[in-house]
Amino acid sequence: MTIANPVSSAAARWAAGDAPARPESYLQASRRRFLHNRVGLGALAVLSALIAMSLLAPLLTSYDPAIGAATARLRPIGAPGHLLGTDEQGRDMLTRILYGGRMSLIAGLTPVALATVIGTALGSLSGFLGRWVAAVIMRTMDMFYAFPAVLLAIAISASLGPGLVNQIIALTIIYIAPIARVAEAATRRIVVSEFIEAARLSGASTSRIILTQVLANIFSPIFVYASGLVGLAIVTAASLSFLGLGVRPPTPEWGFMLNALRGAIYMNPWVAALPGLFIFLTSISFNMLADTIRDSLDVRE
Amino acid sequence: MLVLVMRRAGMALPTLFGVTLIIYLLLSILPGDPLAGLLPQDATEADRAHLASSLGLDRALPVRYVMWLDDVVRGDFGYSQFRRREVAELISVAWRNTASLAVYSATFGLLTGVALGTLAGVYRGSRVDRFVTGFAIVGLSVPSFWVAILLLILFSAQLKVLPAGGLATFEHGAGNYFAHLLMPVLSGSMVSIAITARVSRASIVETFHAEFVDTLRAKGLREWQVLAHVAKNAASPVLTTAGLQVGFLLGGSVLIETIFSWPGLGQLVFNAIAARDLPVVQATTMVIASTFVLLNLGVDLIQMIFDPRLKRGA
Amino acid sequence: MVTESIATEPQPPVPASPGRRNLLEVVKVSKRFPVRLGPLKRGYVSAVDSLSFDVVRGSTMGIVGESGCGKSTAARLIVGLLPIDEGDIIFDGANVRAPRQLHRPGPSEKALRRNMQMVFQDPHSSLNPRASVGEIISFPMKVHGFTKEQQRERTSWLLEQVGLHANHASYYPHQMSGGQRQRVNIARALALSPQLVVCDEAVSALDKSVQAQVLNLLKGLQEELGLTFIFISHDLNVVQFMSDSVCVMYLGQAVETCGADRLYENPLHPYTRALLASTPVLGGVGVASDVPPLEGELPSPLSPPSGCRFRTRCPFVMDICAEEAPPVRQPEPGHHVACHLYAEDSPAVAPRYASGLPVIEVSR
Repeated sequence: MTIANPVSSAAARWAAGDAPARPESYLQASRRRFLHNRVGLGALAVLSALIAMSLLAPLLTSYDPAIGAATARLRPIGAPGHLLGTDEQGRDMLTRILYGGRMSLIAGLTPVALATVIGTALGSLSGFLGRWVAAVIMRTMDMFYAFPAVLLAIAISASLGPGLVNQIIALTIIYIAPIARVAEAATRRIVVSEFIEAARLSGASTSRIILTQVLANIFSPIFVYASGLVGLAIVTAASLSFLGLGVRPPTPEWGFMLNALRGAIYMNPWVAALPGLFIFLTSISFNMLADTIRDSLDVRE
Repeated sequence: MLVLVMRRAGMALPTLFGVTLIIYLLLSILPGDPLAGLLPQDATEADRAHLASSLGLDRALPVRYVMWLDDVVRGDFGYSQFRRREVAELISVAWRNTASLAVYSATFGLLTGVALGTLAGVYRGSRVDRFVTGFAIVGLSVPSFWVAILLLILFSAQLKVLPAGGLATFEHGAGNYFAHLLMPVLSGSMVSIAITARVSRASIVETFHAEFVDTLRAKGLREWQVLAHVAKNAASPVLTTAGLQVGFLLGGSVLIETIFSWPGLGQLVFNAIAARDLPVVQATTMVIASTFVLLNLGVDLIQMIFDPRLKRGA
Repeated sequence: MVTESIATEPQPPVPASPGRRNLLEVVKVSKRFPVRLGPLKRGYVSAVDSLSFDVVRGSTMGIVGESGCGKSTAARLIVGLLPIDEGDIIFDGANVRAPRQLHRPGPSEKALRRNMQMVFQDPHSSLNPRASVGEIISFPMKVHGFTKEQQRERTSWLLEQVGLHANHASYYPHQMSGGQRQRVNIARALALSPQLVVCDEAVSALDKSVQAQVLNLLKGLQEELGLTFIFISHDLNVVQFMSDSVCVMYLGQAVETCGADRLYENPLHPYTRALLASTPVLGGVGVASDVPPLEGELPSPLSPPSGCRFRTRCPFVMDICAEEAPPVRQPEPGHHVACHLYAEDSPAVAPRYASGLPVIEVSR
């Protein structure tokens, strides 16, 4: 069997200059799909507005969120000088809502971010190292799964005491387990691939392999799951504050405000419902955004 | 098959243990003096020491844990200084109330969710589908306590049709009974309806529009028989979430019961936290968590019976 | 199980060159995998059992056998992805028996990696989907401390060596065809200038037309770069094309080893004969067509047959085959067989098939 010299013929072909135009990469394709999704863009717009408003609160309002006038209690929406009315202590609602947004967003986003980091580390180590390491880690995670999440958050929060930091700690703890599970499952799928063997064969250490090869591949499912959690985290954080387990007064926070205004539902129902509306808007925007991200990442594979 | 059932049931035991351990550990770091409020103002050090030792507070943590566990297993949940009652008694009353609310919410949520999801799945792409999907996203994102407040505003404050809270027993009139139930159930089951609708829709889409259904029709089966087959196959993921739903409801009961002054476990544990009533907090959390574990066990076992794939074992 | 040790210098039919040495010697390598037989019972699967062969520098050793015969395990044992249980692996004269834990490579282990590399089978899962081709090829170099400049230069050179364009470095695996991906695989294997390259079913997942191109590429690279190959495949035609020597494996054991051409001219082991007979050959001269096809199922590796593992499917089975494991004999120079038919004390009469037709003569 004669062999035409394989190397030079192929090289000759490419040297002729016909390297084809490169098709778009995975990320480019995902971004394109995302930008075509109107719902997602709408959610992104709403969310950006909410976040911007909270961050720019001092510029948008001149009232002090903590100080109210006893004579101006429970003014209705649209009252002169108070676009959204006043609360039960005479504080301007618009101001409270804007400043309150900061707390609510922080209390919702931070735990998910922290839990993602910790959960991914635990899950990927479990998935990669397997055997008794995985057994220990995942059994412990199962124990946290045995609790209804909100109840556990309440219990942890109650033990640690009120305050923003404790609230964040409580929420982080309850979200570590589900994320670790997702990370572990995704890692186990990847670990049996031949390219991981190839990486081992290249002489790379375990940590190097996890960091360079595994993480990039499990990023997608984890990111999708975590972004789905954010909306829920915001609501759960608000629930904790509603029960008094979050930020201490007089710092405004939407959940707390909703509880404080409970008595006002007879006198000024619209103002009383206002904080909840914002919690809802934030949560639904995050959820829709997460759905859109998931759909647009669902490209080739 | 029996081996699998035993194995699954066996897995519940260490979980229960772990649950009690976590609860005990969590609450032992509760700041504040457990003896506060139990002694008169002029109590001496000796009195304090005496009370502490009689409550077992001077022993090491593992010992206290075992002692507590031992009591719990024998049904002794301790005594609440705050409420001046045996904790077990408090819990049994509260448990019935929470259970009734949870059962109503779960049933309502499950049925409504399955109905909506099935409609959406069968008529995939239609307006019904889009409506249900949209409704599901809203239901998922909405805080249950806000729904509660909105309902209160509408029905109690504005229309003055429903009572704002409290519990009515059946003897005092069925109408009154349901009037007190309506808003708590509606607000508590919102998220449940949304998640169940989503899951059932996905499950129906997968099975109803699968090829085997056409085969069944071609064999000459009537439509309702086909639906029965589809239902059996589609049931599994719905059942799984059902278990999780109830857990969510149990957790969310704290919120709903507080708002509607419903005298259940949620309100019990919340007030106990505020009052630093440690025995009540411990016992209630444990009861709720254990119920959750057992419920999930039940759901898993039911699934094993119905899903032949699981029967053959992991 | 008793097997005789193989002579350390088989004679493949290549012209002898001065200073020729075995690049690789596999000596009685065994590997077992634990297996769960029930809720409490544990068993072992013997994946590779006392495997021995030598690979001459610059040549290609083909390993052929059915699925489940242990060839892929053998590949991973040689290259160090799996630790061996027994035996020795001698690379370039030095015993490089892989240490127990592969996750913590020491400096010597890392150096070893530069010498032995592998081309994997599946073009889909053997390349990191999230990395560009350039990153994939340069990863081994990065691990071994090449500078960015060196990585880039060498990656471009490698891409051209395997018949791709240097611009392909910015492509992603999913943007390339199966054949192109295997070329990337090859380029990656060559990144550290290894002396030995193990090709584990490197072309099996490709279309036939593409297979030919890649095989030609491999041969060309071998000439140009002076590589030594171990070529594993279940496809006899491919193995014949590529190899200088061939080792036939069955249920984890080597049943026959000899020069590639000799194997096809004079297969001795009944299994080899049956394999050759069942392989479609285009236009070539095959083995006598009266060889009965391979019957029966592959026995379970959990409990392989006693004595000779092939005896349950062997048309020449004798009583002794169930009692004793067949010794390895060398009926002609450079040709090793593990079969009772060729033991010194076996009947002098040439074995006959049940149909009464004579078989190919064995020169003793």
